[in-house]
Amino acid sequence: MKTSISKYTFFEYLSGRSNPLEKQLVMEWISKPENTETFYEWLLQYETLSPQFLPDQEKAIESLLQRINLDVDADADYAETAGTVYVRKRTYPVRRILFLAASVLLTVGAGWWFRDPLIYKTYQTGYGQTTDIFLEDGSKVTLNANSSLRVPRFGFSSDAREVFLSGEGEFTVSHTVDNKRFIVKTSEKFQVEVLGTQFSVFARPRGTKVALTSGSVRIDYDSNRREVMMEPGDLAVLDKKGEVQLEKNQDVQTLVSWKEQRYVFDGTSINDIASMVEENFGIPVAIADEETRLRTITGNFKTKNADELLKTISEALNLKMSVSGDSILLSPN
Amino acid sequence: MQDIITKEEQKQKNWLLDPVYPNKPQPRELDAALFLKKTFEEEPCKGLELLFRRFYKPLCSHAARFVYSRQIAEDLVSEVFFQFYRTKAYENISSSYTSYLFRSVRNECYTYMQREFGRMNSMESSTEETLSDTRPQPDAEMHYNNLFLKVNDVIGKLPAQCQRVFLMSRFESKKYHEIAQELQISPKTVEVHISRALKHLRTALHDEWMILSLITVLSSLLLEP
Repeated sequence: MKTSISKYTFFEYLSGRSNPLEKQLVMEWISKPENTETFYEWLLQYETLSPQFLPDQEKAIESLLQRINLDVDADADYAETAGTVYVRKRTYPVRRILFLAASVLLTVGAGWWFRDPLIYKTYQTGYGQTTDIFLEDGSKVTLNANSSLRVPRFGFSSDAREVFLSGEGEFTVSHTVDNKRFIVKTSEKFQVEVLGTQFSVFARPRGTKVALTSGSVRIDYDSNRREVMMEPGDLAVLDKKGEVQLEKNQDVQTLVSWKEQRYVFDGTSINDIASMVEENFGIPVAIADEETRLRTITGNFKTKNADELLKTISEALNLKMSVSGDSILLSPN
Repeated sequence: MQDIITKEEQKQKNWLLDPVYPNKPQPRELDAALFLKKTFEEEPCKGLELLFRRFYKPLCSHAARFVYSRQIAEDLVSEVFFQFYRTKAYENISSSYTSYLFRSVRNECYTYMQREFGRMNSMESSTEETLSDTRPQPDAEMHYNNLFLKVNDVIGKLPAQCQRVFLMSRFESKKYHEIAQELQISPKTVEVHISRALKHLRTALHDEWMILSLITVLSSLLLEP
């Protein structure tokens, strides 16, 4: 069907005086691509016949030519800033593409940003709190205070059981029929790989330690894929230089004494105890002088809070314990 | 021999009788366009001036239907001419000058309105782009029409005094205190009237933006799969 409208109808439409039916007709007419040129031609006629106002054309052309001359003198970049305030033009296709691209980016970006919570489940313990986690393969992890364990939300991959630990945890790994490896990662550069075994991993800013109770594990460290095999009773310590030192025949049970809220010290320095308290209870411990820092203590303490533990130690070593705000200061009495 | 001559004659006759370009614009219009094109080729600056003298007034009038301000309308139209010259758009213009310029001005007005009266996606408005080559978009045409008709409607429905103050401020370029003096009201009242008018526009156009942005998104999905 060929819709045709009169110029008069069109002009009435432009003045906002047409009734809904006429409006409909005009809109149909405009939507036909073959009428586009006529539409603009009539628009020009309409605006010429009934102008909204009469602009000062001479003044406008003068300032336009002036602006162009400025533009010719300067380079394009300068011209952008030389004018007063200009509204930027938009290219529809470009805008669409940009808009689309931005939406896609946003979606993908959001997915990427939230990929960890989506793919992994994280267990976190607060200060002074320990928890047992049973993994889907039957392995058990006991998390010490202020630690977190990240495990895949949708099951382990087919070639390895991989978990990520920060803090301290004891792993009792069960053996699977298909000999699937169990890997504890503490960083991109340090991981403990096991079959079926019991061991404890300590991974805090202060350092990384692995104590093996039974079975056997292999530690992969360094980016050059270096490794150490451990036997029961071994304690592996990652030192500051990035080397792993193996200490044989250690009493590895004492390293997991935290499981029973028990603290076993064997010639342990106050310095180490202070770090431990801060790690496990979140209470900063300051030590007044170097001498106190190096004093050691041996013993077996059972406690549920830092206050009690430090009080006992202070009494034993004749130290003064003062609480200021949320931190504790140990000084010689 | 005889045959050949008759054929020649027939051909000539037919060629003369045929309506050659029945749907094309009037010859006069074509001549003007050709003349402009030629001028742009030889002396772009002169071409621009000719174009300007022919289209500036009607374009300003049209822009004013959207932005309802003399100053803004003139600025927007001048900007279109400037960009038309700067980007050398006249070199590869496929439609008529009329449709190209009107389309550019309408785009420009839309952008301005969107920034002033709409709360659109910040992402969209932050994208910096160059002058449009303005492909025909029937949907956009219609909605641009609806936009200025709506503005017209809103202004028409303003309370008399409010409308008067608004038009004085936007078309006679009068300062608030001048309007106040002329109408014997306080400058504070003038301010209130103008902000009320702008607020009316903003609320009335809110739906329009929703539709327009929806169309932009939809058509981008349809056109650029």
